[in-house]
Parts: sequence; C-alpha cells; structure tokens
Amino acid sequence: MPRRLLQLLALLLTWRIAATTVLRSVADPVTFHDQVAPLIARHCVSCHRPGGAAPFPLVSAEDVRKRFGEIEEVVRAGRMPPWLPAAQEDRFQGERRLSAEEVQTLMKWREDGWQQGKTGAVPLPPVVPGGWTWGTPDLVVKMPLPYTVPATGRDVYRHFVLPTGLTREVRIAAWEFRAGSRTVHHAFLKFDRKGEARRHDATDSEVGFPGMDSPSGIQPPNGHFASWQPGAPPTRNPNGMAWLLPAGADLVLQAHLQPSGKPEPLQAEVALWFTEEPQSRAPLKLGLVNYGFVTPRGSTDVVATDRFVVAGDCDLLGLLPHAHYLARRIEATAELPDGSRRQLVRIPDWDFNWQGAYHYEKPVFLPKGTRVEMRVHFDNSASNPRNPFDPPRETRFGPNTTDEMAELWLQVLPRTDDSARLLGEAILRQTARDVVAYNRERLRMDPKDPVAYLNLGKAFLSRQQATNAARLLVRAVELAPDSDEAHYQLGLAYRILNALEPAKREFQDAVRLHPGNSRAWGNLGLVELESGDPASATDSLRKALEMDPYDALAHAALGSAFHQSGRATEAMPHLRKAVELAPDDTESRTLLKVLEQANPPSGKSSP
Amino acid sequence: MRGLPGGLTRRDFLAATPALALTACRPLASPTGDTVSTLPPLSGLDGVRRPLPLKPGTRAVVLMTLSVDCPISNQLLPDYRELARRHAAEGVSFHELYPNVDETDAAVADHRNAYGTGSAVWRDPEGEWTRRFGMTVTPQVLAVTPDGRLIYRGRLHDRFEGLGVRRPAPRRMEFAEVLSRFLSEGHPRAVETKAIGCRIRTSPRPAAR
Ligand code: HEC
Repeated sequence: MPRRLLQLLALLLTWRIAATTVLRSVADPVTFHDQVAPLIARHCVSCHRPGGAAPFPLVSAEDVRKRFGEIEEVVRAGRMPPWLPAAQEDRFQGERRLSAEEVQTLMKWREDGWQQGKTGAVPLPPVVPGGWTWGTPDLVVKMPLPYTVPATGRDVYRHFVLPTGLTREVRIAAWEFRAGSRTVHHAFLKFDRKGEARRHDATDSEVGFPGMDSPSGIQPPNGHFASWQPGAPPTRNPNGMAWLLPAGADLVLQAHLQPSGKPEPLQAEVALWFTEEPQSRAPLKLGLVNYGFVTPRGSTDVVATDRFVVAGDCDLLGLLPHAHYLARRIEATAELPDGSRRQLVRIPDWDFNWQGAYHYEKPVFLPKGTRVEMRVHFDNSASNPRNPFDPPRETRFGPNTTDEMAELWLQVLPRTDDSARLLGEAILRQTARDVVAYNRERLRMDPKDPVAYLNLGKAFLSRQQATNAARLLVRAVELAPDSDEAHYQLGLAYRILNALEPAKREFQDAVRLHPGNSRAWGNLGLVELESGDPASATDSLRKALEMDPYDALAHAALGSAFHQSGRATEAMPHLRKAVELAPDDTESRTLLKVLEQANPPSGKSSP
Repeated sequence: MRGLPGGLTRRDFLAATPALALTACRPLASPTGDTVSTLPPLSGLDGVRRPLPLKPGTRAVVLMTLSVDCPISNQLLPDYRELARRHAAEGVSFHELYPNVDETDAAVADHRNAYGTGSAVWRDPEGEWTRRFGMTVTPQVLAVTPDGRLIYRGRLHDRFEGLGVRRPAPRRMEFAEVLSRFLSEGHPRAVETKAIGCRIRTSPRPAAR
C-alpha cells in the first residue's frame, strides 16, 4: 500500500515538473536569438544563406521578419524545407522536416512581438576552404562553354557534355556538383563512353542538347543514382562501392533549368575524388515502371502500379521515385516472405521540381521472395494545381513534359554472389518485358515510329528471336534509312541467322552513316572474319578498338584474325585483354594457351 | 443620387470596384497636352512625386508591382515587359512599381541594372497606390481606366499556383485575356484573380503589444 502511494506521488511530481516546464515555455516570449535563429540554422540556412541555393538569405532577424508571411505559408503547407517523403520507420539520410512544435515556436515569435533577445544572426555553416568539401579534388570537370539560360519561357530540360580528358579508367569515391547558378533545379550525373552525347550536342549551335530523358548510350554510373538538387550535400559512395569512370568517357549533366527573369550564364562544374580501392560491393538498380497507364481528362485517382519479386537476398540502400506533373502521391511497400509489410516510401504531395533520390539511414533487408509494389496516383482534374493543362487533357506514359511517367528505382546490394546473379537475371527479364511494353505503347501512339520498331527489334534479339527481330528491324530501316543504329541492329539479326552477306551490307551502311559507331565496326570485322577475310577483319576490328578499347569481343576477334593470318605475336596481347575483360570467354582462353605454348615469351617476334 | 465625376453613378462605381476606395475624377489636360490623370501621384527614382503622365488617347493604365529580391516578381518581369511591348501602341500606358518602403533607391537602381529596364519606374513611399488599390504582393498587376475604374487586379498569368507551386510554363495568360477583351469591348469589368508572390511591406510594422 505505502509503495503504491509512493508511486502515485512520484507520478504526480513528475507530472508537476512536466507541467511547469510547459507553462514556463509558453509564458516566456520567443526571441530570435534563443529559439528562431537555431531553428533557421538547423532547417533553412543550408540553402538560405548568401550565395546559397535558395533565392534569398534567411540570416538576420530582419531577413526572417520581412518574409514572415511567405515563411508562414510555405512552412504550414510543408513545402519548406523541401522534402517529399512522409516520416516513416525506416528513416532516410538528411531528412528535412519541421516539427509541429517548431512551427508553433516560429508563429509565437510573431505573437510575442518579434523580440530579438541577445544580438546576433543565424550562425552560418562553416565555409569550406577552396570551396570543395573534401579538399583538393583529383579532377574538376567543367562545361567547356557557358549555356545561357533564357530570361523567361518554359522550363528547360537539357544535357551538357563535360569532357574528362581521362586517359585511364578511374574509380570515383566521391563527387560534388557546383551549379554556379540558381537556375539549376535538378541534375543527374551520367556518363557516355561512345561520344553519343557529343553527337547530339553537335546537332545545333547552342551548348548542350534538349531532352527530359537521356538517349540510351548516356547512362548513370552502374548501380548508382547520381542525382543532385539545390541544397543537396556532396556524395561520398559507401566503402567498396566506388563507381568506374572509363578512360575517355565524357561526363554528361542532365539538367532541369528554371528561368529566373534575366539571362543567366550556366557553366557548371563537377569535382571528382578517385580511389585505388577496387569495387568490392556492386549495387544493382531494380526498376518498377508502368508504361500502360492512361489518365483520362478530369480523372482524380488513376493509379499506375508495378510489382517485382526480389529474386535473391539483398539490402535496399535507397530509391528514386520519378513521375512528371500530374502525379499527386507515390508509395512503395514491401511484403516480406513472412507476411509482414514495410513502407519503403510514401510521398503525399509529389512535386516534380523537387524530385531526387533517397538513401536509408540503415539499409532495409529484403529477403528473397519479397514482393515490392509501387503505386503512383494521378490527378488529372482541373483542381490539381500542378496540372499543365486547362482544361485537362488525356495523358499517357511518355518522355515529354506533357506526357507522364510512373517509375520507382531501387538501389540494392545483393548479399551473396548467387543473389547477385539471380537478381541480375531477373532485371534482364524485367527490362526486356518493359522495353516491349514501352515500345508497343509508342507504336500505338505513332504506328510509323522507327525508334519503337528499333527497340522492339532489339528486345526480340535479346530474347534470341532473330527472325522476329529481323522483321521489325527491316521496318525500322525503311522508316529511318539514315539511322546507323537501325542498320547495325538489323546486321546483328542477319548475323545470328547466318546471313553473312546481308549482315555485312548492314554493318557497312552503319559505319558509312556514322564512322564513330565502334560496335558496327566490331561486328563488321566479325562477319568479315566469319566469311574468311581476316585481312579486312583486322582493319575493321582495329577501328573498333581505337574507339572502344574496352570491347572484349573485338579483342577476341582481332586475336583470332591475327592468328588466322599467321601473326601469333600480335594475336596474343588481344587475346589476353579479351580474357581479362571477359573472364568467361573460354574460347579466347584456349586459343591463348595454345599460342603461348607455341610461342614462349622469350621467342623473337616477327615484324 | 448625385452623379460622380466621369459620368459614373455611385451604383456603377460600387459594382465595378466592390472592395476599393477609388477616387475617380475626370482626366485633366496638362500644359504639355498630355493627359494628366487624377490617379494618385507616384515618386520617380529621383524622389519627386508627380502625377502619371498619360498620352492623349490613353485607354488603360497598367502597372505591376516589383521587389528587388522577390524571386517570383523577378521571374515574371520579362513576361510583363513583353506584354507591354505588344500593347504599347494600343493606348495602354505601362508602369513598373516598387512598393516596398524598405528598399532603397540604390537597391532599385541595382535591380534595374541586373534585370534591364522596361516601362516607366515608380516608387510609392506613402503607400498611396498599394493601400488605395488593395495591392498586397509583388508581383501583382493592376489595370485601371484613366478615370480610375478597375479593369483588372491580380496575377499576370498562372505559372505560380501558390508559393512553391510552380508550373513548367503558364497555362493561362489571364491578364492578357482581360486586357484584350477590354480593348475590344471598351468597358472595364473589374476582374480579380489571386496574385501569388511576396508580401508588400508598406510601412514599418508596428511592434506587437
Ligand atoms: C534544400 C534547400 C532549401 C532549404 C533547406 C530551405 N529552402 Fe526555402 N527555398 C529553396 C529554394 C531553392 C527556393 C526557391 C523556390 C523553389 O525553387 O522552389 C526556396 C524558396 C523559399 C521561399 C519562397 C517561396 C517561393 O516559392 O519562392 C520561402 C518563404 C522559403 N524558401 C522559406 C524557407 C524556410 C523558412 C526554410 C527552413 C524552415 C527553408 N526555406 C529551407 C531552398 C531551400
């Protein structure tokens, strides 16, 4: 009994203490120095500081007070600080969110009469010496020429080529993006080994080339998102996950630019830090994509979904949701094999302008058999404030701003080599399925779309259905006789069908239309070799390797061509390179062994 | 009921401008032959208060509020100037107004160096226009007839739907539509839309209790 009384007393006491602290804080006036400045320092000043990513600073009491009306509106609506995902159990790195109490504190500052308290402004984050976060970078690449963002007009979606001049391949441990202009609202860092971006850039006199989505040869680093938005911290890849930047590759920035009211020169820079440490952990990207949805005019809740069954144990490191302007909500959940469910992300108020990647504080384990589901909700009514059309128009999947998208990319780290293989195979199957779905959709919109025929042809080729592929690719060549890619792919189909002469003609057309198409040169060489012409094959394959020294197949074929011409010593280095680049190429390995035994290293080489 | 100057009845006046306290007077002729409207005077960048000089035949007076550091008024400024170029020859007199009292003339001059010059530029140190015409944010467009009847008050177009809600391009050019209709019909309809932007700071805020 007395024990219970004591407990009760203790309870009352703690309650009294809690109650008095609450009363104290309500009674004391909020001052700028004691409450507001620390709040702004924690949540706003990373962007709202002189020279920061936001258009104005929030540093002095006056800065905050004179914009209080706007601050109240954006803070209450949850638009500032900018952060799309709702709070959830699995937290993301760098979450930006004001608590309800913090909002109240801000509002109380006004009620209490804008008191300054002790003098002083919002403490600014330390300035990094030299400007780059991790000291002197190993390489800084810059847009060679500035692009002028027009003063007004539609938002600009543009790619910029940043040549690296690298003569050796490097592994990227960390990178930092410096826009140098507030017009950049979002950017993806990608790279291009084959000069495709340069070719696109050369098609008009302006710097860069347009596009909301990148041409196929321009890829993000394998297994990484490399996404940037205003205020984003620089990226250091987790240990062992450095990505490879091949020799001679160009970096490509895919940027979303917002006109500011005056013409603004843009000459962005990317700093790179290298590492010698080999990649010991290779993340993969799994895409959930819906290509078939339609949002009729006025519809308020069309949901585009996609599912994926995880084929091997893996850890989910992060994700990247993507949609355009009509999407209102995006959700992803995982249903684990034990029947439990986890929310992976929920975005209650999607805003294309603040799209980006999110990485978990702690990776989320997805055991084999986990079902991941994406749901993207669209509102195509006039009451969606971001609807680009008034009155609304029917909208479908497509790459233009006026089209829509529904995608969710997962970055996963397989737990074992076996899981990696299973996941890799599942991704290939999924990709082939997606390509077919996507291009059927394109053909439905435009039955004469050569790119759709080309992509479908490629998908059938990857499924080993060469006859079907050839039929589609003939159509692609008819519709786009100047497309080297169409000729190249048709050549591949013919080669698989063993029609060597037609294959050779297609590859010849491809290199005539685009002498920089290294894969077409490589395959031309292969066909020449297969039709018993090692001399021509040698020339073609050498051209292929000049353009792409990492082409394992071209090395193997050139080794073989030299061997057939009786030039064993010239054959061996290429066979070695082929085996190094593609360890499972047993044919080259066997031939190399035979040649090495016949030509011991001390043997004199023939001229 | 006594007729108001300009032939308006009080009923007309109230119907046209429900929330505004406009003083509408018949335009007077200035010694130079320009029409001097009886709209309130504004200050030039030289600090001198003067009435808006209006050419004979002026049918509408249009101004947009600007701030030296409001990203939204900055973004809409070129579109406003483009509209001004298109309609300048149609008897529309365009103006740019910096209403914030805490912005110095030097800051305004810097702003015009950065963003270029367009129509005639004004300050409103006494807040006469902003108060009288109920202007609350930058950017906000006001269009009145020279005798002070409201044609339009609101946003230039709908690129912004709220603070932080921005379209990739405007979908409706609301003010341009109203202005064109006014120019073809000849009579103002007092159209209002909600302007999105930064609050106007007219005078130092009185300290709270
Ligand atoms: C990650 C960077 C970032 C952070 C953090 C941030 N802002 Fe912003 N803010 C911006 C950018 C960029 C804009 C310009 C509008 C846009 O691009 O959406 C902006 C605009 C604004 C606006 C003007 C609204 C408009 O649409 O022009 C206000 C007010 C604002 N921020 C307040 C705040 C407050 C208060 C905080 C902290 C609680 C904060 N911001 C935190 C980047 C940021």
